[in-house]
Amino acid sequence: MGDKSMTTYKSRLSFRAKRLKSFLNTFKASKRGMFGIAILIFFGVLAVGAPVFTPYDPLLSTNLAGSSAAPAVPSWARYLPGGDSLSENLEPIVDPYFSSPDSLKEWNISVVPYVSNVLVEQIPGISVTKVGTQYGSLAVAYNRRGRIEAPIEFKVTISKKFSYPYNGPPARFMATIAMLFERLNNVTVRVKVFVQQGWLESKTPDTFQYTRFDWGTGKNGAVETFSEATLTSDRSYLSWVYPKETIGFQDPKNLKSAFPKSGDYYFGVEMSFTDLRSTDNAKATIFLDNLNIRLYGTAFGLLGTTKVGQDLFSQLIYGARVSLFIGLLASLLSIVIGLFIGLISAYLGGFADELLMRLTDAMLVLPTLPLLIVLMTVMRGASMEIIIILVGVLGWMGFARVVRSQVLSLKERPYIEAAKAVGAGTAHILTQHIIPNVMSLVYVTLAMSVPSAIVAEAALSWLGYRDVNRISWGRILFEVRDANAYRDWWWVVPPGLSIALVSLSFILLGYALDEILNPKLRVRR
Amino acid sequence: MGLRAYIAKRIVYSFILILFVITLNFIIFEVMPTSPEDFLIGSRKELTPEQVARLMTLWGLDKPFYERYARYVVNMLTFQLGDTVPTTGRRPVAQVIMQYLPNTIVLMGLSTLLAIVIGVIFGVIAAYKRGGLYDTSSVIVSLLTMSLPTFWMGMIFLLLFMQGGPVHNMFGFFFPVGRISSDFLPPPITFNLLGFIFSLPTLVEIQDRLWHLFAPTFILTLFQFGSYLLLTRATMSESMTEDYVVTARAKGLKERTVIFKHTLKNASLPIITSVAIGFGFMLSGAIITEAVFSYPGIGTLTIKSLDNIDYPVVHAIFYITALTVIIANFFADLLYGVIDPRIKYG
Repeated sequence: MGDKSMTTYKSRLSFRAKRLKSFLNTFKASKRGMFGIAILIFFGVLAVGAPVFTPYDPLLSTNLAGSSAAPAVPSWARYLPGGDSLSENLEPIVDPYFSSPDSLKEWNISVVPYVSNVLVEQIPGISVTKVGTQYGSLAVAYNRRGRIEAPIEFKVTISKKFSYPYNGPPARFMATIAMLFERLNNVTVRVKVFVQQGWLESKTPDTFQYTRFDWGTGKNGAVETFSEATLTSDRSYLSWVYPKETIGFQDPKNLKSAFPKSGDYYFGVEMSFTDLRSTDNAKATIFLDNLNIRLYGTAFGLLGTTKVGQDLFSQLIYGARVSLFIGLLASLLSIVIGLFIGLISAYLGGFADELLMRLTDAMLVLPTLPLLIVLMTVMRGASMEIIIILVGVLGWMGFARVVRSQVLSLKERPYIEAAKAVGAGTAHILTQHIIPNVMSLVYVTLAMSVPSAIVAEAALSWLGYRDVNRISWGRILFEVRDANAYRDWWWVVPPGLSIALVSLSFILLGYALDEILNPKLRVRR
Repeated sequence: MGLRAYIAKRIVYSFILILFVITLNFIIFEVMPTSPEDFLIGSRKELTPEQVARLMTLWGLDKPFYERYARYVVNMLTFQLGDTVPTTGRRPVAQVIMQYLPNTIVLMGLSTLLAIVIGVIFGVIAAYKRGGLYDTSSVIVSLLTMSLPTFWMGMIFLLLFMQGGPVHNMFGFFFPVGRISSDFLPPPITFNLLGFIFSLPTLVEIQDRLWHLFAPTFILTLFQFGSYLLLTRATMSESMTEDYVVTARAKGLKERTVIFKHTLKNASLPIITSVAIGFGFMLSGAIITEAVFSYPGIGTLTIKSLDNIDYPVVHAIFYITALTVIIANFFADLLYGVIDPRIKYG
């Protein structure tokens, strides 16, 4: 007995494999079908492999490039006409945390005029901002013993030359420095962080300087304090946590004056020491780290950035996940409901049929989009699940009608009658004879109805009924509308184009399946 | 069953559908998380219990739900749509809707009409040149424009044609978005004819309205023409293989006569019904497009009302949109019954 069922199982399996093979062969011959499948596989791979293709989070990785005034365009736009003034991200500083003795090599350190008791060295294991032995800091130590006749003034400059290869200025930049002033005794220190073209000595009064702040001892003598500053190109002043002071610095009216052309630039910090000579000895130790500058380009990545500097390519491929998932699941849901209602309606007939069909007609009358909007409002807060359920529940009517008419005609076929004559029950007939015969319809309709589900989701997202934790193609376009960025072609075009391509390929796939699976249903195509 | 009985049946059926829509409307707003009580009184903590009770009586909220339902049905059927919420000024809802409705009707009427004309003409050509490059490309274009989100098409249009866009920079013209700027227009010309006062818009006003109308009409036409094209193409190619067409050709009739008099005429029935149904979605079809171009129509009103939590207006809009569909379907059925002699009413 077991053996016999095994052989029937095997033969069944081989029959199925043969059928699948012949189906695939026919499918391969269909140009439209293959085109559709190719595009769908392309987007499917992008969607599934999103974390592999991009290191950025679509929503949480912000400030990647560009500025809020001007999002970054795709980096390939540099090669288009008029794109030669675009710039890309640049991080010239290799080791801003001075984590190894070698880190001093990238900096140019000068003490002018030369003072013998100044020591600049890398301190491993002690960091101003970071916790961890792998980080270090740079220490500038001055130590005088014994009286002096005149005040001593000198400047310690730590700077790095970097080459800026772009013709146009960056969208913005951010320079940071963290300092710890230790045992500042009878010494006043002025600190200046600068970004400029050309070497320091040649600077003219209108040289671009980003900050200028003074820090010195009070009368109390030794003060220990910690300061960290972030100087950005779009803030006109910044406030220090310790000491509580607001330090203004020149606002770059125009980044173009900071980065007028490509060439060598210097970034660094200049500390002007003044030894007050009032006591027998003077001492100052300054630790600094996170001495860094990042230049944010006006061009970034494959598809540019949004206004808040999110990577649009990441948004597009993570959006493909959500849009495809919602589209597939919502249309699957509507197909299942439609199949169920169509089957019941046709098979039960009579009053149940009448009732279900009237319900179908009534649902068809409802304007879908306003109803969706109202239901979304009523639901308070859209999650992906709610969107799927609502879009699915409002989309089954057409398919229910098709299934009903198909089942009505199947019901009268001789083989059903034969099955009945042998004594097959309703459940057996439905599962073994009717459902397999409407499955081809299911596949075709599934393919055909995904686009409308994707578009419905996109429309809802675009109107603002979106899942706040997820990005979808519709939501990318919502963000365009929200940011009033209609002019940013790299932001507007890709999501809509993706919707168009995916919709078209599902429709083409549907047509191809229809031709292969329902040769009898075809009416003179 | 005769035509009269058929019509009677359709009327009864449509009426049941209207009741269904009203009921659904009632249920949606009844089961929503914030009950009408919460919505109307909720946060107003300064009210004394007596005042709350008086308000509840005033709004009929103390009555059982079936009584409220009955009143709701009657009010909806008699178009007593109530007032907007206090935050939007307690204006009569009907007045608010009438302010926006004509704009939508003009927009959708125009674009649907254009879509039908373009769709049918190009559909006939596609069916006639079946299988060729023209046929394939027109089918693909139709499928694309049908499946594209209208808001995206609108955004692309804005990208190209907005004030300060590339076309404006290069050629010096653009298409505006937003409100019809009637405040800045010369007053309409009014004149007295046989005791009746007529008012005609000035040429400048008409020009301005058309200018504002262009963008949304263009997008909606683009969105709609595809379905008419595909339908015309399908029915045309079906009837082109019929025997009477062969006969007409064999008689030596001109090709144009064969196409338009014999084929299209016989293929027009499904087209006519779909036109009737298409007009049914007149009010709901433009929501998104209106939102893109800030066109002051029903769609913009819907979104504005939802933002303002102005549920009476949303109720009314939903009811009226559904009503339009029901009425259009009724006429579609009627047309079907009247035009096609082969159809038995049933």
